[in-house]
Amino acid sequence: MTESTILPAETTDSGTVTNASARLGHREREVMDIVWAEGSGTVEEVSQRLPIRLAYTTVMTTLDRLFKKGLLLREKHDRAFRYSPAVSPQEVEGHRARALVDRFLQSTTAQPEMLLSCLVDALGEYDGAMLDQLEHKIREARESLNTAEADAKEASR
Amino acid sequence: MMLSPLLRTLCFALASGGLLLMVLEGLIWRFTPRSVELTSTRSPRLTERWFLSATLSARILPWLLACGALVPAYLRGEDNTSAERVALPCIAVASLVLLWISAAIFRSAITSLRTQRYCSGCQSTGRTVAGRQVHVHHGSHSLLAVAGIFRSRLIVSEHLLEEHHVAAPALEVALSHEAAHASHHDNLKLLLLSLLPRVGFSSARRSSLDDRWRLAAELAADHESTAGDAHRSLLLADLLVVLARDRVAAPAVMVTLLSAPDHLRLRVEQLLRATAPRTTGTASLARDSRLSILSLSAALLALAGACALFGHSAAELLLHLG
Repeated sequence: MTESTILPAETTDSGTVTNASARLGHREREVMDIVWAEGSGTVEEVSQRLPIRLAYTTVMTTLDRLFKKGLLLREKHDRAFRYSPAVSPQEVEGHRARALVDRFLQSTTAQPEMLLSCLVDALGEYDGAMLDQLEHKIREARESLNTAEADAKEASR
Repeated sequence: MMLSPLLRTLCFALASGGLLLMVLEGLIWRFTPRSVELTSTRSPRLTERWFLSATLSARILPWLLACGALVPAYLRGEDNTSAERVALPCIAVASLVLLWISAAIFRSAITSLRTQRYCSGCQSTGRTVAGRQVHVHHGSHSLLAVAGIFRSRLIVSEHLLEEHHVAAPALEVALSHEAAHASHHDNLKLLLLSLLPRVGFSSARRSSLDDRWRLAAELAADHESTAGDAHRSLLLADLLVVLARDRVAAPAVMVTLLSAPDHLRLRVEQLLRATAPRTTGTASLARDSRLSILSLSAALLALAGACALFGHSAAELLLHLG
C-alpha cells in the first residue's frame, strides 16, 4: 500500500515556492530518491533503477509531475529530457516538518469546512496514468467475469 | 509567574494532557496496522469500528489519564495552598494546548453550522432516484455525496442526473454506498474526530489515523453497497474512475471521507477482488475483540497506576521544570 506525504509548499514550473501544499506519493518519493542518489537521470535511467518494472510512460508522467511541482529541473539532451533535483532531501524533510506544525495548528488557521462525504474526493488530484491503469484492470476483470459466466452457462447446458 | 493552586492545577492538567496526547497518538499511530491489511482478514465494518475506536482512544485517553490520574495524584501530594511560582515554558505549553482545544471546538461548531445551513437549503430539491429520496444539488460539478450530521441526506448533482453521465444500475450502487455512510453516521463520526484536538502524525509510508479510518469507512460502505456481488463491484469501481476523471472544481469548503488520491486506487483494487473479503467466524471475531479490549484495559490500568504513583513528581517536574 502506498501512502502520501503532504508537503506544505507547492512549487510552480519556474521553481518558485508558493504557499499551497503538494503531495509526494510513494512512487514519486522513490523516483526522487533515485534522482538524488544519481544526481540526474533520463526516464530510461530512472526506470532501470526502480525496484519494480514500470511502464516507460508511467515513469515519464511521474517525472513530469515532479518537474511541475518544482521538485525537479529538466534539460533537453538530444531528444530526451534529463532531470536533476531542484530541492535537496533536507529541504523536503524541512517541508514535512513544517507541514506537521501546520497540521498541529490547523484548527486555528484553516477555514471551517462543511461535512460532506463524497463518493469520489472532488478536491483530490488524480494521476491520469493511474486512472488509465485502473480502467484497464476493470476492463480485464469485466472480461474475465463475462468469460467465466459464459463458461458456467455452457457447462450447465 | 506566581499562580494560585487552582490555576496551577489547570496549567498542569492542560500541559500534561497535551504531552500525553502527543505520546499516545504517536504510539497508536505507529502500532496500528493499515486499513487494507485489516480489511483482508476481518469484516470491513469491523475494521472501520476498530479504527474509529483506536483514533478516539488516542484523542480521549490522554485527557482521561491527565484529569483522572495525574491531577488527583498532584492534588493529594500538594500541601501548599498559597500562590507558587510556575515556570514560564509550562505556562506557555498550557496556553498553547488551551488554544488548540478551543480552536478545534470553534472550528467544529462552525463546520456544523455550515453543514446544517447547506442541508436546510436542500429541503426544496427532493426527488426520488433509484428508489431513494435524494436532494438535487444545483451546480456544474459532479457530486454524489451524503450531507448532514444527525439526519443525513443523499445529494446528487443535477449535472449527473440530467446529462445521464451515470447509468441507472451504477447510480443505484453509488446511492447504496452513500446510504451506507448515512446509516452508520459517518459524518457524525467525522465531526467527533475533528472536535477533539489531534497531532495528526503521518509519513510517506504510514498515513494518519484519520486517513486510515476514512479509508476503512469507504471500504466498509463499498462492501455493503456491493453485497459481495461481482457485477455491482465492477459497476462501482467503474463509476469511481469515471467520477475521478470527471472531477471539476467543487466548492472549496468541504471535508470528505476520501482524503487521498491513493485511496481511490486501493478502493478500486479491493472492489476488483470481487469475492467478499475473508471474514473470520463470529466466535473468533468476538474473541479477538475481547482480547483487544482486555489488552487495552490492562495497558490503561498500568498507565493509570504509573500516573497515580508518579503524578506528583511529574507535576513538580513540569510546573517548575526540575
